[in-house]
Amino acid sequence: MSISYWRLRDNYYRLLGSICNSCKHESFPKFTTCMKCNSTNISEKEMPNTGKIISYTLSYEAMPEFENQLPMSIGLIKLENGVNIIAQIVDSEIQDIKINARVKAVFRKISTDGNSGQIYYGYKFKIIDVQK
Amino acid sequence: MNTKISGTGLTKITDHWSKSLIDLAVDSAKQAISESNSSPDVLILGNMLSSYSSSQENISTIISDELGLSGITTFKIESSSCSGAMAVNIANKLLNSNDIESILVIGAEKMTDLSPAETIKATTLGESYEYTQFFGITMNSLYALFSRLYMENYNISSEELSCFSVLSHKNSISCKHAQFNREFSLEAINKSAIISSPLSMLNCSPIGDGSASIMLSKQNNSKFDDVNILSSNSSSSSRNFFSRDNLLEFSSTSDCMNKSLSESKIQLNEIDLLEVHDVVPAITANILETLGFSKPGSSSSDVKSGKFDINSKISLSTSGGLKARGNPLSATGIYQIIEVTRQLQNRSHVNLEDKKIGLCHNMSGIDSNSVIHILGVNN
Repeated sequence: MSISYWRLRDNYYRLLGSICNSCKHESFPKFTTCMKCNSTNISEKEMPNTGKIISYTLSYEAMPEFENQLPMSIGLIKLENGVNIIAQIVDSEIQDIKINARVKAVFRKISTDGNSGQIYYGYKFKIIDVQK
Repeated sequence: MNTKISGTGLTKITDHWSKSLIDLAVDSAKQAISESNSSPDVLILGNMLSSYSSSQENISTIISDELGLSGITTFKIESSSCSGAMAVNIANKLLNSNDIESILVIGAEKMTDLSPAETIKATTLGESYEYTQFFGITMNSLYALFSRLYMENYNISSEELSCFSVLSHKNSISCKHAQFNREFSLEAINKSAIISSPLSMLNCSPIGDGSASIMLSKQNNSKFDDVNILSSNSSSSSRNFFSRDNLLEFSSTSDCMNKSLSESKIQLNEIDLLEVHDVVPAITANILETLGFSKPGSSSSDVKSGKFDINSKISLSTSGGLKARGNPLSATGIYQIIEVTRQLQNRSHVNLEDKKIGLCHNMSGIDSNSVIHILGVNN
């Protein structure tokens, strides 16, 4: 998977998405055709790195290379610009992971290719403001 | 449209340790061919995982060779967990556009040759590799995120939604090919281990191997009543459910349903048998509401009131649906069509009176691609 990882490094490291120059609709991941107006006049744009949780789950099942991360908190996050993203929630108390909790993107290790293979990095999110 | 279902065949859904993907496909295909008293001109395989779970592509050629059908046109259709129904949709188009007389459609999936972690990855292969699998996010986690959105929006608890699983298990008790032949109480379902909160194990569709095949023909030479395809449609939506404006909107299902009603000229209240992609309760609920069988947010109370019971006017998942019959991904869509066909011909595991029209809804991901067939019987 190392080549596709290298190709996507800006998307994973900087939340690089896209904006439609015709209708200003923003998206992550980036699209070549606007989902709103079908325009193909698209530019790259970094997404804001904060948002709030709109749904969440605590998962007890894992794919290969993720077994040692269980249980895994996953959030559906609405970023400040209205774009939704799904990511792991880390560095947070499980009881604080709830709807409307504010979160911020952090740079973290995602997985490794076995014990001696490549290490993959990307975005995860952490809670910055606990919802009472 | 002039397509008839002239033959059916299936295997039990279970852990088939001693059978390969090809063995399973051949098993159900032979039954369908024999029932139809004819030989197919084309073989279409619906399959999702052959390259991942069996390291095999070009697999429809191998299956046709095993069936002694070398020389015919054959290929595989892949569209994740609706590959089976999609193969029927394409077969129907083909049958109606040229001089082909009959097509064998096989749905087959081998899921238990993989390790548990690989199986979890296999069920997630239809989702974005770059933005879902790369981060270790599983299909059940996506279903869980959707379930919580549904529960919050309609203020319904996951315990209440478990009534869908109770119904599925009740219906599959006497269905021999179902993966589960036992009931579970609401309490047992709610107490089962959490897979991905709020989803408990007994609210998630299981892992199992299986194959189901049908013969589609212009003429029915079998000894059973004519079951006709009244409409066959498919529709797609945005691939990532989290990118949609309205996260609860199932636009591909709704678009597909509109096309189906207009093509079949059937009214909603004429449908007596219903098979939907009931993979987890909140998804089932949203599908029933999107199709128009329940008002938004009210399908779980409709289930509790008995509206979808097996002996009611509209029977839901009469052999247990994805939850209790089982969900061998690409074969599921064909199991649905066979269940409705056999019900309409009065030869399923329970005899239901006065069933004339059935609807089958099969989808991939969270409404990323969906297929609807409406079937009717002449008897």
